[in-house]
Amino acid sequence: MTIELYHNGMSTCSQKVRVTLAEKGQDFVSHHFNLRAGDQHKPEYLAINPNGVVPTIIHDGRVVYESAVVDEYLDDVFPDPPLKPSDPYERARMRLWVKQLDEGLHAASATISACIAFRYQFMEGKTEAELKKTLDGYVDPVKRERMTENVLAGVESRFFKPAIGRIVKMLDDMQASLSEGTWMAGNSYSLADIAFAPYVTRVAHLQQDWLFDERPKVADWLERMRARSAYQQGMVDWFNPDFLALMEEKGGENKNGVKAVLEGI
Amino acid sequence: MLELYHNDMSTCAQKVRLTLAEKGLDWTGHHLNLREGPQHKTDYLKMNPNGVVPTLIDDGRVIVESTVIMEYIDDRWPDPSLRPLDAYGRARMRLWTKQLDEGVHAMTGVLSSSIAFRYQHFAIKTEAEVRQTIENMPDPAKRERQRENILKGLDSKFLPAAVKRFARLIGDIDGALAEGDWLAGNEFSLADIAYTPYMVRLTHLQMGWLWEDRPAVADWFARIQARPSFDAAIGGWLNESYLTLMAEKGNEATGQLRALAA
Repeated sequence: MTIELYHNGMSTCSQKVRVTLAEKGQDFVSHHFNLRAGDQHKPEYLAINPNGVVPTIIHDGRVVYESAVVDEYLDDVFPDPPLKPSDPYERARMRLWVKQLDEGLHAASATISACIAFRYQFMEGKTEAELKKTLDGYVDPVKRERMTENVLAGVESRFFKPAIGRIVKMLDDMQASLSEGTWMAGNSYSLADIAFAPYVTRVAHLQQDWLFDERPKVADWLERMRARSAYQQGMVDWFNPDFLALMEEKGGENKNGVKAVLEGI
Repeated sequence: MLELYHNDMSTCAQKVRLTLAEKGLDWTGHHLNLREGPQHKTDYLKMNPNGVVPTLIDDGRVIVESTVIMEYIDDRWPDPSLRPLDAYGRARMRLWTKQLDEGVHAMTGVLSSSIAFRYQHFAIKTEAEVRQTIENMPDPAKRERQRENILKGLDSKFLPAAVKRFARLIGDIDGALAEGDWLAGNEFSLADIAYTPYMVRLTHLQMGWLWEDRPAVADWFARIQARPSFDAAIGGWLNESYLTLMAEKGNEATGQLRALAA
C-alpha cells in the first residue's frame, strides 16, 4: 500500500498534498520534479497526468491527481484524524473555499510569483530560443499565454494587476471568515486550511506580508498553521533555499511597485 | 424547510433539482427570470455574492455553487448514496465535477448564448439595455465572454474553442464509459447528474451529432433520461419558448458548428 508522490518542493499544490499526508501520518516515496527543467512535461509523466502538472499520487496502483481531489481522496482512504468537518454545512464551506483556488486563485498566485520573482529563474542562463521552448512546453494554452507574458513583462504584465487584486480579496475574505471561527470552515481545522496555507505563505515569501498588518486574523491563523508539525513536514522541510532567497530579494525590490499597482485598483 | 432559488432552464439549477429528486426531497422553489436579471439584485447578492443560480437554503443556512450544493445534499441526506463507496471512485467523480467548474460550464454559456439565447435579449430590450445588462454582470470574465457572445453571435471569438472543448469532452465520456456503466465507475453518481444538463443543452442546440458515432454515450444518456428524477428535475421544467428558439437557431448553425469541431 505504498504511496508514491510526484511533486516539487515549492509547488503550492504539492505543499497541500504533503501537509495532508503529514497530518495523516502517511509516508511516501518521493519523485521530486525540477519544474524549471520541464520534468512535468515529459511523455512518461503525461501518460499518468495528462494535465502535465504536479502533484500526482499513485496509491495501491491507482493514479490520483489534482490536489483538491487528492486531498479529499486521502481523507476518504485514511479517515483518521478527519480533515473534513463533521457538519455538512461546514463541509460545504470547506469545499467553497477549496473550489476558489481552482477557479482563479491558484492562477493568480502563480502570476504574482512569476511576475515578482520566478521570472528570473526562467530567464537565467537561457538563450531566447531556450526560453521560448520552456514556455511553449505548457500543455494548457491559457496558462502558456499567461506565463509567457508574466516571465517577459514582470509586474508590468497585464495579468499582474487582476492577480494581485484577487490575492488581496482572498485575504479580505479570510479575515472576515476567521473573525467568525478559529478555522476557515468554522471551528474545525480542515482541508480548507491546508489548501490555503501554501498561498498565504507565498504572499509572505514574496515579502508582501505587509498586507497582513490590516488583517490580523490572517496573521494569527498563519501563526497557528506554522505551529503544526504537519506544516513543518509538508512545507518547511521542502523549502528550497534558492527560491526563498530569490523571493526575498526580488520581493523586497518590487514592494513599492506592488503597492503602486494596488493603489491603482 | 428546503428552499431553492433557481431557474427552469439553468444547467446548474438542473443539477441540483436532479440531486433533490434522486433523494426524494421536497422543496419550495423561488423561480428567477434570468433575462430580467433579478439574480443581480442586492438582496440576492447578499445570499449569493456571485449573482448566479441556484442557491439552496436549508433551515436558514445558505449554500451556493451547484457542485458544493450537490455534495452538501449527499452529506446531509446520505440515503440513497450518490457518491461511489470507494475513495478512488469518489476521486474519479470529483475529477469530473471539477472540470465543469474549470471551463466546461463557461463553454456551455458560450454555445448557448452565441447560438440562441442572444436573440432573447434583443427581443425584449433595446441595444442600449442589452449592453447595460451585460455591464451589470458581476464576474468580469463572464462579462467579457457575454459581451462577445450576445453582441456577435456565431462570430464570437470564444465559439471555436467551445465547440472543440465539447468534442473532446464527449470523447472523454466515451472513454470513461468503456470502463464502467457510469462516469465514475459502476455506480450512478453526482458525476452523471452533473453532466446531464450539459447533454440536454447540446441536444436542444441540435448538437447530438457530437455523439452520433459513439453509441456508448447515447446509451448512457438514454439510461439517465429513463430515471424518474429526469422528468421531475428537467423534463417537467422545460421552457417551450427556449426549446423552439434553440431548435431553430441550432439547426441554422449546424453546418458552421460541425466545421468548427472538425
